[in-house]
Amino acid sequence: MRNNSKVLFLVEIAIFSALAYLLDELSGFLTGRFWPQGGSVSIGMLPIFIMAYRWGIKGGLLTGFLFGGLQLILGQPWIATPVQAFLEYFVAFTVVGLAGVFAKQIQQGLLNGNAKKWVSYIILGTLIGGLLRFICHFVAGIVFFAEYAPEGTPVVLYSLGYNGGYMSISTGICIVLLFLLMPALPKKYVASK
Amino acid sequence: MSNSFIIGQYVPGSSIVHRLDPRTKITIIFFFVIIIFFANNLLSYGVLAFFALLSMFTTKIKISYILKGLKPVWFIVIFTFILHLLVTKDGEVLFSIFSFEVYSGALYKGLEISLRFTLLILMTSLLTLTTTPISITDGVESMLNPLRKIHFPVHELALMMSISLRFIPTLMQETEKISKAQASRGVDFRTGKMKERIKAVVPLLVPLFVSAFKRAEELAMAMEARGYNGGEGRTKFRELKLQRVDAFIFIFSALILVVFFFTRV
Repeated sequence: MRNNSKVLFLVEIAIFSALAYLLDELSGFLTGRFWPQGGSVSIGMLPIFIMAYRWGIKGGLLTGFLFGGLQLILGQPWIATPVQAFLEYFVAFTVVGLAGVFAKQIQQGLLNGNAKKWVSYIILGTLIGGLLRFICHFVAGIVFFAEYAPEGTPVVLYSLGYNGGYMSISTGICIVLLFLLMPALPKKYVASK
Repeated sequence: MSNSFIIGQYVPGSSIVHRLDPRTKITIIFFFVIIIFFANNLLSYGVLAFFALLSMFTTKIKISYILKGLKPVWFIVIFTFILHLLVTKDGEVLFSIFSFEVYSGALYKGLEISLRFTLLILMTSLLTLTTTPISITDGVESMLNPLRKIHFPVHELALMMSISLRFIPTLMQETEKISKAQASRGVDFRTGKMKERIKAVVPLLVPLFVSAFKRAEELAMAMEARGYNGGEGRTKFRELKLQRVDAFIFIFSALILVVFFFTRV
């Protein structure tokens, strides 16, 4: 039985990473591709959050890591400096999985019908995941523009505005969708055990 | 929806670049990405540009196709170039447009930055253009193999990556099916306010997630039934093998590298 749940863990994470990639690609209907330098309003993080709340931190981190890897090998790579690429493709999506710190509380809340509990922990977890990812893109943006823009450009401000824009909207949309989705999913898929 | 959705950038072909072992390509591009930051004069950039262009022509992929793929990148290249012309004030005044003076230092810096960025994007694109995602995964797995000694789950990660790649088209079809079914019931994803569009996605997402959970369950059960238990002693259908071409390309790239370091100031 224990072994079975390990294989299920691997397979589920893999399939949900594929789903993350797919949803990210199809997110164009939300705002179109407004952000020209990569990044856009997207619901690609949604499967990461679902895995994080089902399997905990480890599941979330792995889903995010694979999602980043998929983008790197399937998309148009945005490699401007090695540091920026590492941050944006490997670290940024992985840290979203840290939302899973509240997995236990959310599962309990959902299973016991304690709406106040799961709603507040989902807000908290999703905000943390979104914020951590934003920090990665923000730092990567500074690295990127420090390398490419002329000296004296307000690099920090630009990166803040650019990445803050789409990240805050995406995180907000994810929170709303999680409210609507989590109670609608069959209970046996909410908790891993 | 699916007509315009091509998974990955891979263009099938039989050029030398296509036939190279993915590990060769990954290694060369890895070094290229680092080394380009050591270029510091026109000649050293020239050497790297020569290498990148040579690689590009060797792939035998239509140049117009490659350039079309780089479209989103042109914007930032031109943007940073103009930004440098406007802001940097080094060297002497070359010419002036509408009382605005363009400095030689600005022109040089702008060109350097644009060239570096273009070369980086071009080289990394060549990898995904000539290598299937699955062979990139195999290549990375084989290169990271030594990390197994420190219990880094190389095999598991590669397996998961392969499963993801395998399921993207399947899930794509699934999404299309569900969205058609919901559209026939009157759900509209594409018009209306943002709020309404977000609400409209829920009837698409719930069945999609549930079916993903079910597929995972079935696949896990199937793997269990076939006795899957980790990477130990597992054989592979696709074996990677270094060929003579790989050795040749390695030596050639090493020579370019030597030339590169001689051209630096």
